[in-house]
Amino acid sequence: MRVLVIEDYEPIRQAVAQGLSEAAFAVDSCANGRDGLWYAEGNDYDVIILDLMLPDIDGLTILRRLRQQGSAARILILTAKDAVEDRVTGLNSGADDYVLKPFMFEELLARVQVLVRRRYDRVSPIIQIDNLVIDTASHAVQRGEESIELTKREYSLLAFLAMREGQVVSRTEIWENLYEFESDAHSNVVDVYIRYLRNKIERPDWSKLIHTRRGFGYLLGSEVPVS
Amino acid sequence: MMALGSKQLRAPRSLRSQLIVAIASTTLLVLSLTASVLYGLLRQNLYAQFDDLLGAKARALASMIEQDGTEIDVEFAAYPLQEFARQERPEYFQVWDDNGAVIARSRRLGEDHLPLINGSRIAPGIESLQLPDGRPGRAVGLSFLPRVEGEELETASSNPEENDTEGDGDPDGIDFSRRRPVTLVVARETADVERVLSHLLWLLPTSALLASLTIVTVLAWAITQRLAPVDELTKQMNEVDADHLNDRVQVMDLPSELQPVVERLNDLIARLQVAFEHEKRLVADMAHELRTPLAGIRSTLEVGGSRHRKANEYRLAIEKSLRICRQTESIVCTLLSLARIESGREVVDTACVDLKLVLHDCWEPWQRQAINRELTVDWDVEPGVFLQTDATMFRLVLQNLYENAVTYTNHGGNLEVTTTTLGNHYVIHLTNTGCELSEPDLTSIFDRFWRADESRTAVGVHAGLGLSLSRRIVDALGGNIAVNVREGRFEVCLRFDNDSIDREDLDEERPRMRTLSSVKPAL
Repeated sequence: MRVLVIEDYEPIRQAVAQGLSEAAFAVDSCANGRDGLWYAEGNDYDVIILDLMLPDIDGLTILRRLRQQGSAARILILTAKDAVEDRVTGLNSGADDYVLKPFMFEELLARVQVLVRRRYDRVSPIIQIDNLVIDTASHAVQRGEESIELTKREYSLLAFLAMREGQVVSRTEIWENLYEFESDAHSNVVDVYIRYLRNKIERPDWSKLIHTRRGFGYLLGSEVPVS
Repeated sequence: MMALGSKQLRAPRSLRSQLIVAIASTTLLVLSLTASVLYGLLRQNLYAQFDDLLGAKARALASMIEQDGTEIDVEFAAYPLQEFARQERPEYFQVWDDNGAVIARSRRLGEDHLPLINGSRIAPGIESLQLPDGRPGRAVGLSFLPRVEGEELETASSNPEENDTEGDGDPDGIDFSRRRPVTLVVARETADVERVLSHLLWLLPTSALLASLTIVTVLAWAITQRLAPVDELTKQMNEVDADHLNDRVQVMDLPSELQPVVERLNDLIARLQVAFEHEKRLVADMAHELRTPLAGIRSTLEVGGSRHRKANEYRLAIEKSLRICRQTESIVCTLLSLARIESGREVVDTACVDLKLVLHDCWEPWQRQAINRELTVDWDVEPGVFLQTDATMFRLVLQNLYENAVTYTNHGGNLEVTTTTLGNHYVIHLTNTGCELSEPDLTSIFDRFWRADESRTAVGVHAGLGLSLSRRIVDALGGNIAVNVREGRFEVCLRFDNDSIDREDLDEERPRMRTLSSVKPAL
């Protein structure tokens, strides 16, 4: 899942980006409004964490512009402006959530995860496909009775495919959601991580869950849809 | 139940009710007095008319009394007039001779007598009395000399001298010595007058009351109509609160007496709005400057402690948090200094400060940064000038001003530090190029937390407190600080009275500058 952090105060920007990255999000971050708008318009982020008081272009302007353009990204405002009218203005301008500074990082992370679920029309943090159970809150993965240990990237890939259960996801989409904007990863890394994932979640006595659609991409599901 | 104090607060009385009560009571009083006076006058008038008529009647009856020799002949006694003879509500008469003997009287008197009332034809005596049958009445009395048989009526008078037309003591040949004066009293009931007066007695007060009610009703309506703008003004004023300071009071058809009040009110609301917005902005800015570093510390430490890491990562997180703590500490200390200075608790320790020396000394920490930014610095400071001031506080001001100058001067720009004497003041000028402020910015430049950058970047590094603190300090030192923007140049002027300036050619034993450790500048 891909997150953009637009925050001019370096300690917050760096800590939030690091914390989200460690929580298996692909995170891009910007220190001013102009760069933030450019990133947000040019990429499909699941969640944008947006400060209001930004240099160049302020956060409210960015928010309104993205909504005018029909951006589907979930936007969480992160700000020190705690007045009721500021909160109302932010939410009425199209924000999905409003978090005040200072904040607990755990809470911010939980709110980001909620917004990701909403992006994919998921209500529960638990995703179950066949006997595969993914807890998106704790990042715990279990198939049958067996707990499965995944690396950060493997989990990110599995969670991304699970959110779009039954849908074909292209390599490009997978790559964009696994890696930050300025990543220098190679293009075959997706195939590599698909293989890693299959090795961990698929056994001969378990049903196949990750299916390849040649020329299109991959999908995660208990049955292959009839073409 | 709370005991009430000796001075109980009363609800203010309405202007409308005060006006109506005042007008009503005044109207009622005036009309009542008028009615009373009118009643008195009418009563007097009616009785005067009554008395005149009765007097005329008495005079007419007097002309019907003759003296025949020594006998007095009362013509209407033998042949009583109808008014004396009737049974219903008769009138009465009685005639006396000069000895007080009754010569004639109304038969209707019966055993009763009328009182003997003296008077003349011109000025008859008048008395109120109760008639024999109990009716209230009035009696007129005349004393006169009766007409002698054959005498002309016009010459008959009770005063012989009046009949002496030739002035010889002999009134026209008539022997007045033989005349015997008589007294006639005629009495009549006053029932008609009393009836009219009793009608007036209820008519006048009733009319006064009705007139008062009518006047008060009309006036109350008129007052209500005319005070409607005041009601509207009250209603609009009640709607003014901290959340609606954009609204102004606007009342149609406002009386000219209230227009200055409304104008002043709107002016005060406008000023209140500015003050509230200023306060709101100050609180928002302060919140940003304090919340943001706290959020930085918290998120750095929470993320840092969220999992097992290498020692170096922990150290970096701790160092970053410490750095933010120091910045926040500086903001808090500056705010506390401001509070102390404003409360008057900051002690000013005056000493003699070498101005040129302290100007250069405070510049030294910024020199490296100025070099890095390729700034040129021009000095024109008069040597041998000593300022009577608190050295620590003065240095704090200079360090704040130098920090601003070095930070906001354009790369490769120019700084000037000069001193001049202007009239009774000694002025230190600090000017830098690269200023992007406008004239309107200068009205807020000394406000706490004000920054030209509305996004408030560089949190913890520039909080917008430096100039605010500098102003408070300079005020406390008895000086004045002013700023100016002209053609991209920003100028700060520190102004001190010449009284606080000494020059080197004066008393050599005066203590010189104290060397102090540098004080951390405000952000």
